[in-house]
Amino acid sequence: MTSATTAVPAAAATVQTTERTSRLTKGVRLTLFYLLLLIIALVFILPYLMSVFAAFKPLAAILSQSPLRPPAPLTLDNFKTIFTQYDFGRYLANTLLVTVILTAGQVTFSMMGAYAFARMEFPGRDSLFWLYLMTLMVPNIVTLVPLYVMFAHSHLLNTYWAIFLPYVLGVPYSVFLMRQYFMTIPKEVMEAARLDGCSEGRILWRIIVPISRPIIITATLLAFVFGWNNFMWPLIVTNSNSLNVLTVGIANFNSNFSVQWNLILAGALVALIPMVILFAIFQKHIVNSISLTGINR
Amino acid sequence: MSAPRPGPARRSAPRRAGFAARIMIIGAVLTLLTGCAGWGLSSSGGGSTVTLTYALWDPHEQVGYQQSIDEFEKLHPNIKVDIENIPYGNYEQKMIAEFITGGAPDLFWVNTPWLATFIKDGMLTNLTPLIKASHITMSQYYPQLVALHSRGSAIYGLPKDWDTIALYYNKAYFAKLHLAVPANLSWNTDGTGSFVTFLKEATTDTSGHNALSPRFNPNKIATYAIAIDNDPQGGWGDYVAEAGGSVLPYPDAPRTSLTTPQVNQGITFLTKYLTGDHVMVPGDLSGPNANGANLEQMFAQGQVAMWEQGDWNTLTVKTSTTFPVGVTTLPIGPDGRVSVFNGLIDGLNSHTRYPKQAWELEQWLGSPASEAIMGSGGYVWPAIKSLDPLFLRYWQKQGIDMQAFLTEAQGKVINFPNSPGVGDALTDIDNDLGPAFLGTEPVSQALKAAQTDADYVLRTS
Repeated sequence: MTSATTAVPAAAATVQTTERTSRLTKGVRLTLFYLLLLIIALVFILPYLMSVFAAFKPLAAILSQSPLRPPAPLTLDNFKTIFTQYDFGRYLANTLLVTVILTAGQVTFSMMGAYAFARMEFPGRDSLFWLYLMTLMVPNIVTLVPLYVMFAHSHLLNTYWAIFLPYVLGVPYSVFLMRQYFMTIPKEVMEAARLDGCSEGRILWRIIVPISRPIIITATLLAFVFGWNNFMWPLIVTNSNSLNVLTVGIANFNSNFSVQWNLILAGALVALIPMVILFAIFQKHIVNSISLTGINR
Repeated sequence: MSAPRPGPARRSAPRRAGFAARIMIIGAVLTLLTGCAGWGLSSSGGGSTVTLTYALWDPHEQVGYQQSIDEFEKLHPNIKVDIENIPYGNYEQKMIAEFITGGAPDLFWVNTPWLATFIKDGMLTNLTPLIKASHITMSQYYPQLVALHSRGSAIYGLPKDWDTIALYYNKAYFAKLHLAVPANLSWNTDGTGSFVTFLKEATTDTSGHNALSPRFNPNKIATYAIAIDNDPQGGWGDYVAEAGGSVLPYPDAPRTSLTTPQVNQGITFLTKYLTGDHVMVPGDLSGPNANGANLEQMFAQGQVAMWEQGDWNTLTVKTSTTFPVGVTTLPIGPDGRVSVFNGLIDGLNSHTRYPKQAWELEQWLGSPASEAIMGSGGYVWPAIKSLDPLFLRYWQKQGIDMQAFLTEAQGKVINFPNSPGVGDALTDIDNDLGPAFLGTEPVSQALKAAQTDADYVLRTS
C-alpha cells in the first residue's frame, strides 16, 4: 500500500518530466524549423531588398557601402534621370501597350482554339491538336531566327506589330491549358445550348467563358507576366529607342564604357512595381493558377 | 476540383464579354496615346523627309549625341535621325543580323575589335571619294586615328573621339600618406625602378606599414598601390608596348607576335614583379580570370590607391567615388611611355537606302561643331586636336584634371590591334593569359598558348 502510494507520484513525476522533455524537444524542433524557414526566406528576399535600397542610392554609395545598408540620405535622382534623360515613361507606355495587346489576343484566340480542340467535332481534330502541342517541345530560341527572317520579309521589323504578333494569336501552352479545362465541362451543357439554337460562338462566349473563369484568369496572368518580362524578342526586332520596352531600356544601361548600376536598379524597380501590384491584387488567383497548372513561371 | 456550375452563366456572360472588350478599348486608346509611330504607318521613307537610324551603345554619350543631332536636324529639316541604343554585349551580333536581313542602321558606331572584319565583310562604305568631294581637312584629326581607320587609301570613317590609358588615383589616400604622385616614374624589365619603389611606398597593410617596411604584412594588405587588369588596352597592353612589344607585328597581320621577349617582359613585370612585391591587386581579387571586374568597386572602397584605366571611365570614377580623384601618366618603360591609343568612328552602311543623307550626318558628327558639343559636355575627347581644351575644361570644373590622358595622346602611342577577327583573338588571348595573372602558369607558357589560339582565329577570319 505504502509502496503503491509512493509509486503514483513517482509515475506522475516521470510523466511530467517526459512531457516537459517532449515539449522542450518540440520547442527546439520548431525553433530550428522556423530558423531554417527564416534563412530560406532571407535568401529570397535579400536580393530584392538590396535592389530596392540601391535604387535610392547614388552610384558612389552603391559601390562603397554594404548593399544591406538602407539609403541615407534617400535620393530620387536615379528615377529623375531615367525618366527625364532616358525616356523611361515611353518605355513604360510601350511595355504596357504591347503587353495588354499580347495578353488580350493570346487569351482570346487561345480560348477559341481550345474550344475547337475540346468540344467541336471535325476530322483529324485530335491529331491536329497533338501536332500543335508538339511545338511546345521546341525551345523559343530555335524559332528566333526564322521568325526574325519572316518579320524582315514582311517589313514589320522595328514596329509594335513585331513585338507582339508572334504571341498574340495564341500559344500552345495556353491552348493546352484551356482545352484540358474545357474538357471537364459536361458535354450535355453544350448539347442543351445547341438544341436551344445557340451558335458555337455564343456557346463559347455565353456558356464556356463564364464557367471557365479560373483558367482564363490563369492564362491572362501568365500571358501578362510573359509579355511584361519579354526581353530577347523585343531586343532583336526593334531598332528605334522610341519602341523600346522596359527590359530593353534597362539592358541599354550596360555599356562597355561604364555600367550605371544606380540607373539599372532604379529601372528594374520601375519594372517590378506593376508586377508587385498585380500580385497583390490577384494573389488568390495566382496561387490558384499554380495549383491549376502545377507551375509558376 | 468542383464540377463546373453552368448556373451563373447567363448573368456573368455579358460581364466577361465586356471585360474583353474593355481590354481591347484600353489597347486602342494606348495606341492612340503613343501615336502612330512604330506601327509601320508613318512614311519615314516617303515624301521629302528621310529618317536615318544611328546606332550606338553608350547611354551616357547618347545624351550628348542627341544634343548634337538636335542641331543637325535644325540644319537639315528634311532629315530626321532616330538613335538606336543597343546594349554593348549584343551590339556586334545585332549589327551583323541586321545587315543579313537588310535592316541595318544607316550610320553606326564601330569599335576597333570589329573594324577590320566589318571592312572585310563589306559593311562599311569607303569614304575617301566623299571626303575629297566635300573637301574635308583630314589633318584636323589625330593622324593615328585616321591611320587606324584606313586601309591603304580607303578611309572608313571620320574620327570622332579618342582615348588613352592613365592612372586614376585617390588624392585623399596619398594626402594621408603625405605622398606626392610624381609624373615621371620609370620601370625596368628586372622589376626595379622608381615606379616600383613608389608603389611599395603606396601599399599599406592593416597596421599602416608600407611595403618598404620590414614589418609589412603582405597577408593583411589594406590598400594596394595599383590595379592593372588582364586587358590588352587598359591593362597589360601598355606595359608590353613600353617594353617594345606588340600584339600584332603590323596592322592587318594574320598572326600575332606574342612570343617575343618584349611581350614576355611586359607581362612578366606585372605578373612576377608587381604581383610578387604585393603592390598590385592579385589576379584572384581582380575578377574572373583577372579581368578587373572588381576593381571599380575596390577603388571606390579605398582598397586600391591607383587604378589604371582608359579615360572612358571618368564618369564612373567621378560618380562612384566619395574622395577627390587625380590622374597621372603611365610610368616610363624601357621603350618610353607608350599608351594604347584608340577611337571610334561612325561606319556608313554600305547598303543604306539614303547614302547622301547618311553622309551628311557622318560629316556633321565628324565636324568641329558636333565634336565641340561632345567635348564641352565632357562626353568624349574630340578627335579634332584643337578642340581638346573643351573636354579638359569640362572635367577641370568637375574637379578632375585630365591632362595626363592628353599628354599621352600627344606623346608616343600604339594603336589598338587591328586585323580581321582580332576581337575574338583578343578574347582568346585574355583567356589564355588568365593563368599567368593568377600565378598558376609561367608567362612563356601562357603566351605560347595565347599565340596558338589567336593565330588560328586570325588565320580563319
